[in-house]
Amino acid sequence: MKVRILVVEDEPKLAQALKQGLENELYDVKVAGTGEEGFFLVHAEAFDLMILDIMLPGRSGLEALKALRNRGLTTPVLILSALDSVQDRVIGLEAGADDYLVKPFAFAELLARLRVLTRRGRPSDILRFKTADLELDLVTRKVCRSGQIVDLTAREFELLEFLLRHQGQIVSREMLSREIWGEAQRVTPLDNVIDVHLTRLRKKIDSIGSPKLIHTLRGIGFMLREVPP
Amino acid sequence: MIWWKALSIRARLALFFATAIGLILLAYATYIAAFVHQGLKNETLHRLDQEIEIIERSLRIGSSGEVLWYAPHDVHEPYQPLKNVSWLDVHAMDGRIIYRVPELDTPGMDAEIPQFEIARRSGYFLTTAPNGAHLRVLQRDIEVDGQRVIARAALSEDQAERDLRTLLGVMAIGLPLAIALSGLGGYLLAGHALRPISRMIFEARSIHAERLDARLPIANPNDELGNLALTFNDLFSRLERSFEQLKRFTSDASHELRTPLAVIRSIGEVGLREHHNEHRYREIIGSMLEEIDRLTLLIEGLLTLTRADSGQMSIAFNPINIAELVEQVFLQLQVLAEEKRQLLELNSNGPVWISGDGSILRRAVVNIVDNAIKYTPEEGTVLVKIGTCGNMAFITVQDEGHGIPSTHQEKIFDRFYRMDAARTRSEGGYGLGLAIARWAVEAHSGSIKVSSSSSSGSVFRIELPLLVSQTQNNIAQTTGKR
Repeated sequence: MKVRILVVEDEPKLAQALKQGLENELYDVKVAGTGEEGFFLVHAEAFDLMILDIMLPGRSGLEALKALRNRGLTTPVLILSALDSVQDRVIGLEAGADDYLVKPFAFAELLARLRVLTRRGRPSDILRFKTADLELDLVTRKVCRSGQIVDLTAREFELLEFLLRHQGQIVSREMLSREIWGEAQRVTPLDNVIDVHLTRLRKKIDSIGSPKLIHTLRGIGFMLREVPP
Repeated sequence: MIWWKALSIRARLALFFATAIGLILLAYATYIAAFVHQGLKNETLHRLDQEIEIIERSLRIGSSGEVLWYAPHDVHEPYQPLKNVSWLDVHAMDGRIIYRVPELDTPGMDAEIPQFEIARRSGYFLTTAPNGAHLRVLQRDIEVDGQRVIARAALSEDQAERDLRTLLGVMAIGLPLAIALSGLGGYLLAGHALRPISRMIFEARSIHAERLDARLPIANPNDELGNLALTFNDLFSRLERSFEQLKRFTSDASHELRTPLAVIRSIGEVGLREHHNEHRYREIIGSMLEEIDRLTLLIEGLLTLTRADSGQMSIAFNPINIAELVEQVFLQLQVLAEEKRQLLELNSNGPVWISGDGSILRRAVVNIVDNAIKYTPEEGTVLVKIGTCGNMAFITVQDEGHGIPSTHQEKIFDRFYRMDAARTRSEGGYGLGLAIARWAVEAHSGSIKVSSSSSSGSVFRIELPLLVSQTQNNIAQTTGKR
């Protein structure tokens, strides 16, 4: 059964892009252009998740959210907002949101957050990853390709593990910056560091076997996959 | 007291002044009047006393044993009653008139003289003559050789009263006049003193964001209004500087934003001119997204600085081991140095505790170390040192770049400042890194300086106040580090 998402967004191009992007990821998407419409739809039909832009004409997104929560609506809500201060995040979360994503955002980021909210992508208890002839064992901390042991630094290991966990999915620099380097904000020097690490990882992994597994999607991020995207 | 507030300061001052003067003059006038009145009265009493004394000396016992008025012939001057004495009389105990002035020969004189009453006691008293004159009378018992007579002397107080009334009349006119004049004078004086304020108001009205270079006129820098004007002018100078800064920043930011936008546009437009295969289209779109990424980072940097300017960045102050923070950054950026086959060295001697916000300080350190790696040529050395000096912690980052000429050394921490005026982006960044670093350091009460010689590179030095030593010892004890 497809996951049903309600997108409440007044900027038509963004709404359209979201709808298309999410449908590509096999979500069922309905778009509401105003707070009132969203309010009505969320009561008229059942949704698994709501993406809510809080800068809406007419009824403010936050008010709508508070009203929904007061009426007992438990649907997970992800807020989209151009306001990025800590205060704004807190206000959003206190109004009843489950997550807060700042615009402009990487689409991969949105997908990752949605997966968390719909309980997909639960940190699995996988101890061993395998793709093509690449193997990574979390217990022994060993990586093998084409039967050869690959020597990785701790960082490179973390990187490869992350890519394998999200194999087939887009991994953005934000995600790497946040999950592996623990940096809340994305900064250019760190981008360079990430790039260098990935280049080295690619050199170690993709040079000793085929096909190429680590792919760079320009402007978007990276992906580990057998078949090139 | 709403009416009071409705008046201008000038009017209030004048009113206050006039009232004060009025009260003082009133008190003064009252005192003068009372003094004069008392003086006149005393004079009257004194003269009455003198009359009675003269009377005393002029009484003799006659041959028949009666008391007689005796004007001695061998006295140089015949007795003359003091001028203005209304009357003078001496009675015997049986009512016989021994002497009386004025003489009773004048007809009608009776009507002017009060009746004699034996029963009345001696002393001073006031009475009214039949013709209406106010008289002060002194009645005294006199003993002449055992016989008792009663002498009376009276003086009219009419003149004195007239004099006093004249005085009061003059005062009654003069006082209000004086008050009015002082009120007017006060009003004029206040107006004169306050005139600079009117001028200041006029000038201040014309000052607004477009005309912040105007200043208030200062007539006399030493008086209160002069001080006020100086203070305001100071304020305007500061505002002007802030506005200039803001204008420059906004203008710079707009220009900086234009370039990435131009790139995106060009890539897109050129990309649409021809047909490409799918792969090429992906390249093009990916390239546009990369530029958008850079634009986003630029805007983030701008937002940070703007927020820092207006004091909206909240900094959490916690004890931080800055040596550990620098080590983390060091490890993080090491790969970048390795790519350029540079030697990245860290010189650290144990924990250094300061109070601050780790994420903010990390940005500053990252920016500076990243710069050092960027500007140091391949196979060069970047040296990072952490230590303490007195009550300050210091971090120095030394690179082997082409150095910074002394004329630029202060300016490199300005926003968007890049040494070559052409603002090439070949080395990345937007010129905000050092500005953010400076803000981050200064928000922790620290300082950042650069020293450089054009051939051997530059040394950036960050200084931050150490955590108070007692706390430092406590932390050292609890973490077991020393």
